[in-house]
Parts: sequence; C-alpha cells; structure tokens
Amino acid sequence: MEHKYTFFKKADIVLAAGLIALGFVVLWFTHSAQAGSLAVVVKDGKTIGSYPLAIDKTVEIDNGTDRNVLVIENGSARMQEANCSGQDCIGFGRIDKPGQVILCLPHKLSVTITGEGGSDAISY
Amino acid sequence: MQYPTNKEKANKVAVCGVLTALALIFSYVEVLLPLPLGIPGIKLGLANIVILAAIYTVGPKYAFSINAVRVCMAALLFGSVFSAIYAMCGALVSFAGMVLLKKTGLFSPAGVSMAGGVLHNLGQLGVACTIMETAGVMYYFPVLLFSGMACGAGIGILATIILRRIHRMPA
Ligand SMILES: [Zn+2]
Repeated sequence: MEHKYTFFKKADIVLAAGLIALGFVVLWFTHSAQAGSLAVVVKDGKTIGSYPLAIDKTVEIDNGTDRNVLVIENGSARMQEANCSGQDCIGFGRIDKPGQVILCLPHKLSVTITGEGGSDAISY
Repeated sequence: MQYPTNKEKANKVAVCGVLTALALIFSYVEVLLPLPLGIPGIKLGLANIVILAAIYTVGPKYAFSINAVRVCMAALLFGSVFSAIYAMCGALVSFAGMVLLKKTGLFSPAGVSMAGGVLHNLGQLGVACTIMETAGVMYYFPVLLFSGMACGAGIGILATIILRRIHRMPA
C-alpha cells in the first residue's frame, strides 16, 4: 500500500476544465440580462397565479396547512413569511431576473420570474 | 491464521466508529457555517474530508456505511425529515461518483473530491427539480456547480494532506 497522494493529476485538470465550460454554457443559457416582468407561482405542479412585478402586491398562498406570504414591491419578489420547516424560502431573498426562483420545497411551492409574457422563460 | 484476520477486522470496525463520529462532528460544524450564496442549503461538504479519507483507507464498502450512518444521524440530530431526503440523494450521487472516479485510477483524491462536491450539489438540485416539477430550478445550476467544484477541491486538498499522514495506519 505505497500510495503517493499527488495533489492534482492531468485528468483532474481536464475534468475541472470540462465542468467550468459546462457551467458557463448553462450560465449563458439561463441568465439573460433584461429584468423580468412576471412572478409565476406554482404549487403542487400547477400554476396558481402570475403577478406583474411592476405592481406592488402582497400575495397570500394558504391551503389551510401550508401558508406562504409573497411580497412584490419595487419590481422584485420575496417570500416574507412561511410556516414551513427550515424557512429556506425566505432565505432566497429578493428575485427579479428571468429564470430566478424562490423554492419552498416542503410546501412544493415555487415562484419563478419570467420575461415578457413568459415566452423567453425556462419552460416548466 | 484466523486470529490476525479477526483482529484486523476489529481494528477496521473501530476505525470506522471513530470516523463516523468525526464525520458527524463535521456535519454539525457545517450546519453552523452556511454559505452566503443566496441559495439556502448549500454546504461546504466538510464531512466529505472523512468520507474521502475512508474511501482511500478502509475502502468504499466501509466508507459507504460511515456515510449512511452519518447522513441519517445528522438528519435526526440537526435537520428535518425533509432535509434528510435532500441530503441523502446528494450524498448517494456524490458517493457513487467518487467511488467510480477513484476506480479509474486517473484522478487524485482532490479531483475525486471536486467531482464529489459537484455531484452532491447537482444531486440535490435534481431532487428539487423532481419535487417542484419545474426546470426553473436550473437557474441555480451554475452557482451550484462552481461552488461544488471550489468546495470539493478545497476539501480534497485537505484530505490529501491527511491521507499522506495516515497512510501508514493499518488498513
Ligand atoms: Zn418555505
């Protein structure tokens, strides 16, 4: 068992280069620069509402057990309140760019920003 | 001939116990150090130092048990049922990938760890995609990929330093 543990081998560098390239390709596809216009709320796989970012609004999504409060203000959306475990959805902060997502996994809820009419957004 | 092999086995089991405890401590430290990347749930993958060292010293089979016990106990102690499903998928994908890459013999422990970090994050992203039934989650693919690479490589370098020191340990 005479192992020589080298820090990096040739294959490591090739793998790293490949991963970085892949990352940039996806980055290029998913991150368009223009600001989004709609916040689309999907719960349990069904779209339950789309709200223009231009209009300030507080949206309450409550089905009796799962409660989320989405706040749209100053052209961005954020999760203000939720009764989920972990409270991760609140941790996403403000989102306003097409493709950006707030996820509440325990409630199977997502809020996705789409561009004009959703035509250039990532499809569901 | 029977006695030494039994002793060897006992030795291995004891080492595994210590490694499991160590991995669990790292899992806990990780909970205290979330990465501020705008996505909740991204972790440094500190416990992977131990898992990586285990793969290279006691072997993949024992390393798998250590990892499984670690993930289950960490979920019970510091997480929810929900985070457990998430963590398990990430850990499984990452572990399988690391063992495969190690088997090729082409990669260094740091390279194996780098791939493990990426696969861990992407495994979790896959779970999120499936649960949410939306591909929109892919927006976070690049961040998860790059953070997984950076953390994985860093952890791998640490593990390499450790492996160099302990490779005289009975394996
Ligand atoms: Zn939530």
